[in-house]
Amino acid sequence: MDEDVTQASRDGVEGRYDAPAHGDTVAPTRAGPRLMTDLVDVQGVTKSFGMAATAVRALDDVSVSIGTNEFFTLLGPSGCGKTTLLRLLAGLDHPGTGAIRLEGRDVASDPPNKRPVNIVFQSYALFPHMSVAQNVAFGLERQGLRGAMVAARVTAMLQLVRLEGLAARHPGQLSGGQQQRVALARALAPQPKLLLLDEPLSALDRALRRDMQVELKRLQRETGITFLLVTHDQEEALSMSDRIAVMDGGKILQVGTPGVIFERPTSRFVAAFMGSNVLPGSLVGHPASYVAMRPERVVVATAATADAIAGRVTEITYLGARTACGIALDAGPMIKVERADLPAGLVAGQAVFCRFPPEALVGLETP
Amino acid sequence: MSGEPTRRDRALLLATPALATIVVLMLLPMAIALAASFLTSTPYGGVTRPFTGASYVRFLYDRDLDDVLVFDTTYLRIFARSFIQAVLATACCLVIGLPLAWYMATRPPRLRQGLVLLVTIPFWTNLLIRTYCWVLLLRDQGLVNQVLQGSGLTQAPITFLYSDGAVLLGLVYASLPFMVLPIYAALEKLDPRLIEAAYDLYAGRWAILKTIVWPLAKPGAAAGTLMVFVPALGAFLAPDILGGGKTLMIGSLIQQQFSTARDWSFGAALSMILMTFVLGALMWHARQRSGRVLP
Amino acid sequence: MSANPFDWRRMPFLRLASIAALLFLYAPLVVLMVYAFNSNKVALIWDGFSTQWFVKALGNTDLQRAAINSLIVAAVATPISTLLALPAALAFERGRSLPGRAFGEALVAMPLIAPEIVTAIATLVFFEAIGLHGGIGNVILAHVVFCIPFALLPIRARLREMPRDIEDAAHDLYAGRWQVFRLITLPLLVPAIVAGATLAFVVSLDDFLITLMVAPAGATTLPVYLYSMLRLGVTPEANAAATMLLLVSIAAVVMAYAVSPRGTAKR
Repeated sequence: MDEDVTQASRDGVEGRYDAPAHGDTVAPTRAGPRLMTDLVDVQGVTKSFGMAATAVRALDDVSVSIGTNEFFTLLGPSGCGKTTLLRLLAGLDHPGTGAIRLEGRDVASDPPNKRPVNIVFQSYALFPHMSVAQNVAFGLERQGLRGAMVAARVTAMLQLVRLEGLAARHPGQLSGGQQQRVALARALAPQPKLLLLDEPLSALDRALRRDMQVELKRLQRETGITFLLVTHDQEEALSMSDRIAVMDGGKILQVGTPGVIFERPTSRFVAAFMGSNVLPGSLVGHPASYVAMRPERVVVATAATADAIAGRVTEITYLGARTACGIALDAGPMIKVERADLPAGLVAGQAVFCRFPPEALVGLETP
Repeated sequence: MSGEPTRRDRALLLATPALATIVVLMLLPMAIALAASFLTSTPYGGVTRPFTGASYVRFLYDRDLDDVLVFDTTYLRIFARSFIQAVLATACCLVIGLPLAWYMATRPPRLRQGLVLLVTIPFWTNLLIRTYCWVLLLRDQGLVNQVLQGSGLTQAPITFLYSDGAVLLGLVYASLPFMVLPIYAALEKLDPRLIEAAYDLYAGRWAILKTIVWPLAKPGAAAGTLMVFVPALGAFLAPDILGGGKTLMIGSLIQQQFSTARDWSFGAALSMILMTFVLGALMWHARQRSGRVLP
Repeated sequence: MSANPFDWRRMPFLRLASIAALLFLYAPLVVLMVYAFNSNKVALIWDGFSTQWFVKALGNTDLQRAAINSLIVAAVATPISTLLALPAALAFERGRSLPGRAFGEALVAMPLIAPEIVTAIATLVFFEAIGLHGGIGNVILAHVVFCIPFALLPIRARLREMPRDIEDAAHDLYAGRWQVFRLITLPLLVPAIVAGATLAFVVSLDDFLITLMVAPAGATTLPVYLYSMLRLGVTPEANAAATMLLLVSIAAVVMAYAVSPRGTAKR
């Protein structure tokens, strides 16, 4: 317990200023070649729903590798194909084309009950007619375990998710957060190679969600199981993942550490989705026609300097630790700025001068 | 194309026993009845060759003393009466059912469930008995006449039974739940906040009914119309028990062909003509459904 | 709340009209029961509460035989139609790619939509055409068909509201297809299956027209016998017999409603 309290408070402090620093420290340790330790290897998977004429391509030639012991996140807006990919990995849907390898073996045609992969559903999908203990024991018993073995493992799992006292309850008697923990215990009990989490926190309120984020990190660390999280929440993805794959329109647009995804987007979609300013423009030595710029990196002054661009404040929003400021550049585009150190006394309509530090500008390749 | 290769087959396998039962015991009998309508009746029930359209000719023409076909409206009039009775019954059910369904849908959930059960119970109880109850009320020595006479409003009993009115009453009584339940099911989904929003946007009571409630109730009313009209058109019990067999309707006419008249071919032909009406009603309903905006 | 002049729920006319409509639905049934419990033979003169007409009806051997026939038919047709309906419900609600789905839906709806008289004569002509003279078996076959859609109704409704995720989760947790059905789907469906079977039972018990047409002599059911009784005139004994059948149906429906998830018995 103690350990988590400290970690939670440390996260709270860090969150204020250090998203880039967080990314920078993690990046080098995780960016190297991962071929030897790959657990999951998805190659050229395409999945369409519906009849040929009206088919919707939910996944379009997707390839991605996930390493052993990794906390990997699929991040994207709803309808981007992330849940489809998750269901393919679980075996609940069958890919149209492409290969899905688990530890080198193609499992694309294996039914879900033949894969060492378990899933935590967004709805939790607890069995309403079974007690908490029976829910957790379900996968173990299907694997042929019996008696004391099952009982011991159920106890251990309930301890792991801190629900020791509730073994005899039924799901209907639990709170949303408790149900979530039961679903986690149930999916972890058979010790899968890969745990899939489908927007597991979306039904929880904000405070509980933060607790569960910490909890999930702890579970992953303690069990050593590879976690694949699906979410549309950028903050959640950044704070929890070793690596993130950003998806849109059935494609994976970029894979990288949180720091890379946040600071060095390669496409306009990823840049905008992660909250960067996207401006038309080019960089020296880069074929980009658009550049990205974090709102935290824009420097705003009330007096003109040599390399500053003139604009006018359109709105000011006080966010607590920071202040958000919308600025219409005289050249046309609108930009967002989010800083703790904006000049005092800014008001809407005021003329300001923005400076973009060159090292903070990122050239974007694709539309 | 997508999905496991065996999933289709499994679904088909699961559905087959029930569907095959209905095909063999319902669809096939209909086809045989269609065939029977083109055959010739034997005097003791049953049909035989030759194939002929005589039963359909008989629907419109009669043979006079010289064995010449003359146009005869006897059966057409029976169909017309059935049609008019069914339309009137549907209209009455709409008038009674709409306010009741709206009332039910606007009650608190607990009361709502009780009301649904109250409307549902007659739906599941024996139609024969429910129709017969009206005999107890309407006959010359029945409750209504007793009350009328007892209160001095009338001297002699009024004959209610064995009239078109009594049959209509029986049809409405039998069908009312069929109208109320689909309308209620449609209105139940109405979010009360829609009405509050409309109120807030200066709509009056009448405007709310017209612009919010009715568009929502309409699909339910269309389904209810189908579920009232079709059984009423082919009704047997109401015309038989409350009409006393005096005012024939299609249902009782068909039944006669298989009991007293022993003309199976003609009975089958009448059934097929009735089925055409039913299919027409179904197509009307399908058009109503495809035309609606709301899911 | 009720004092709020802006409460759109408050429509006095509506309340009156609804109470009148419910009275219209129930008054005749109440009158029947009152008559059945009246000790006086002349129905309208109340002579005190009595169950003598019930005793008399229960002692009528023809009526007994008809009641037994009714029970046999319903007791056989109910499990058969429920057993047919259960896999069909699974196919309709869980088989995403059921080929010819629209045709299947239309078939299942057919017994509900076709006018009873047409179904009745078609079945009669069919049995005659294939030369099937199975006595009460013919009646059972005819009943199975129209019981299927009623048994199907609550089961489908339950499957529709039961999240697929629950079955997926079991499948994901190493349960094979049959285990998923046996351990998850079936236990969760039990109330709906009971409700469906009860509705099938009630529909079978109440059927009149189809049985009238297809039942050979000796296979007469209770409603058909009642019909012949009522044709002979209004008697307190017939009232008592009708009341009994009415009460059995009402009790069964209330039970089906109580066990089924909210709203599934409403059609």
